[in-house]
Parts: sequence; structure tokens; C-alpha cells
Amino acid sequence: MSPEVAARIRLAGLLVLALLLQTTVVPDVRVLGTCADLMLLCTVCAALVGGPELGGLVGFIAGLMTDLFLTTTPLGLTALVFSVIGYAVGSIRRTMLQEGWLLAPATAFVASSAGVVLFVVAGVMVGQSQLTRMGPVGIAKTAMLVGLMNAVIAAPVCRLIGWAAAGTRRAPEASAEISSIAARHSPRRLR
Amino acid sequence: MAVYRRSSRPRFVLLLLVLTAITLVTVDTRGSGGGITGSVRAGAHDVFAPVQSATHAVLRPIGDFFTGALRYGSLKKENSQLRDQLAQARGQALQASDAQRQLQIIAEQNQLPFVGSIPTVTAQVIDTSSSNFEMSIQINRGTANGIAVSMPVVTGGGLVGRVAQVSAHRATVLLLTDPTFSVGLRLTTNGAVFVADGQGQGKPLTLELVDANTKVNVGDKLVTSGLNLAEYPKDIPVATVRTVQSQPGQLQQQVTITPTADLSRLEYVRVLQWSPQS
Repeated sequence: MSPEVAARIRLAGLLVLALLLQTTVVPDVRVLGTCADLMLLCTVCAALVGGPELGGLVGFIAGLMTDLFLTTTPLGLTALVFSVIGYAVGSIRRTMLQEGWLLAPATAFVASSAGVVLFVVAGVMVGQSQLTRMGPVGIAKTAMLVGLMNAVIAAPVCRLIGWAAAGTRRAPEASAEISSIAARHSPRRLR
Repeated sequence: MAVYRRSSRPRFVLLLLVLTAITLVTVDTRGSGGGITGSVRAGAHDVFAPVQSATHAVLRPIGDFFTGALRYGSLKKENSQLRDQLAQARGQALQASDAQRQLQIIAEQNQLPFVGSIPTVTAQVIDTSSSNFEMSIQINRGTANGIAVSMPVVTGGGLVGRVAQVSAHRATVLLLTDPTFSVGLRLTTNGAVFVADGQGQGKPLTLELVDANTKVNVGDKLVTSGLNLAEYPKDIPVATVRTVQSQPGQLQQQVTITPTADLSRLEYVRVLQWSPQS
């Protein structure tokens, strides 16, 4: 099995696991009525590790999987939002962001909050006006809480995605970054 | 060179993904949730259902462990109380077996008072919504048990919601509080008819267009109106009036209502096999 196929299988496995958790136990842990969004977090982490192309692709797949378990919003809306977020995070990561232990949590906070707001905006554009029913304050609160909760679990999720995506050819020029991130996140490789 | 590569291919991929997503949204909106996209969603629910149940079975005890550890003292006390009650109950059970048989017959004839002769399916609540923008629950019954989209769902407390999506062994129930939910209601005190809208998590429902002259008091009960072709059968309890605000000079009153069913802790619900035509 080529390293790329193996990486794809690992990534798909992680996404299915994330969806499983998101549809079962994650909604049980709510802070002020809001729960974390693992699929959005996976998108952000994939973009951090693999760049805009991997971010966009993982975002699309993760979003589509999320859409399958929603009822009121049309299929494809979350896929649209997550692929844009994945692409944006991947692009910004290359040009602007600095390495450091705060990279994953800080990006997860900003990108997840932006993802929630973008979901509402995109939803309203396709006629889902019920998404704004909670008002600007409610939307801001939800965005902040999703961002915070995703930031808390960002570091381990990034490590997992980094392990899964190592070997993918989606972003060849990012291979140095992937290996540096993988090395940073797994002490075993340092020995 | 690297700059050139990064600015072309990923952008093309993004464009492709965005176009695909917009196509999907269009197809789904046009088919209003039914058709191909509806069956894809139902299929995904069925494929995932057994794995979800297994995950719950594995992870629930861990959550219960943490809850239990935090409440050790009260649980110990409760345990001894329960032992005592169990001993009493064993004795009573011997005497009660005949009474129980009679009760069962009565219960079969007299189900929930508001259900009347409508057939029902009892279902267990499996999951809550995985989204922050949708108020729904998943139940462990589906088309295989005679459940169809838009059937009303109730508990002993009253209306809970309606079936929004159904697959072979699972159904998604949209709760009263979902922002897309609306239901026709009648005030039990004077028979005035309104439409109530869900406002999202943790917020009371609101009544639309309440005339300033209509008498509405805090605590008044509201039941489903059951007007011709209504989505719900008549006289199911739904809510009580929570606040009434009327300002002088305004044509309408602002009325909020609280559901009588406790939507935050639903364990078992009953799906009424009822449709507006029946």
C-alpha cells in the first residue's frame, strides 16, 4: 500500500470516528446549551497540517458527513462552509501564521467561530432564515462557545490528524511542515 | 515556483468543491428534503444506527461513573432507601398481581387522555441533535414500525414535536422549540386561536398576532387547535402562558409560552400514527 493511500484511509477513519462521537456523546456535553463541533475542528486541523488543498477537501467531506445528520438545513450547506474554512485556514497558515504551541488552539478558536458565523450567513443566503432566530447576540455566543470548546481539544486532534495525514501528496511543498509538526507532536520520533 | 503552484491548484480544487456544494444545496432545496438527498440521508442514518448504539453503550458508563463519583454520598443514601423500598415492594407485588392484571386492561382502554383512539408507537430517545442550530431528538423507531414523516410526537406532559425525517429503524423528531417549528393552538380559557413559533434552544415559544383585546393571563393553558387540515390532532396539551406584555397604543400583545412537556429530559416518547387526512 502506498503511503498516500494509507494516509487517505487513516484520514477517512478519523473522520468517521469524529462523526460517530459528534452524533452520540458530544451533544451530551453542552456548555450553556452549546456543544463542540468535532467535524469543523478536524477541518481546521487538516488545513493546519496539510495546507489549503487538503483543508478544502477534508472540509468538504467532513461537512457533507455532518449534513447527513442534520434535518432542517439543506444537504451541502455545511460542506460549502467547511471547505471554504479549510481552504482559508490552509492559505493563511502558509503565509502568515507562526509555529508555536499556541498555533493549534488559537487557530481552532478563530476558525471555528468564523465557521459558525459563516454557516449562518451562507444559510440565510439560501433561504434558511430560521438560523438567525437566536439573534446576533445568540449567534455570537454560540460562535464563541464552539470556538472555545474546539480550542480546548485542538492540540490532541491536530496531533491525530498530523499522524493520519503524514505521507499524503495533497500538498507536497508542505511536507517539511508536516514532518516538523509530526515531530513536535510525537515525542517518540524525537528519540 | 512554489508560490505559483500554491496559488493555482488549491484554488481550482476549492472552486470545484464550492460548486459541488452549491449544486447539492440547490438539488436538496428544490426537492424540499425529499427525493434523492432525502433517501441518502435516511440511508446514512440506517448504516450508522448500530454503530451509534454501540458507542453509546460503551461510553455511557464512563459518563455515569464521573456523575456517580461526584455524588457518592447521596447515592449511598439513595441505595439504602431503595433496598428498603424493594423489600416492601416484593411483598406488595404478591398481593398486587391480580390488581395489576386489572390495571393493565384499564390502561389499554384508557391510554393518555388526549390520544383518544389514535394508534401510537412508543419509542426510546437515543440522541439529541449534533448541531447547535437544530432542536431535535433521535428515536429508535422508524418506517419498519409504521412511523412516517410529520406524525405528532407526545409524552405524558403533552406535545413534544413532530417526525421530521425517518429511516427504517430511526426517526428524527423536530422539537417544539426548533426555530422552524410552528403549531396552531387554542386558548382553553376562551377558545381564541393562535399560531406559536419555536425560538431556539432555551427560549420560550412566542404566539403570533395576539390581538390587544384578547384576554390572555399568565398560566393559561394552550392545546392544539385541530382546525381543518391542521398538522396535529385536536386538544393535545402544548404549553402554558409564561409572560404577557401589552403596551398602551399597540395593536398586539407580546405573549411567550412554555411547553408543558419537559423537553430537556426526554427518555420515552409516543408517536401518534396520525395524519391530517385521517
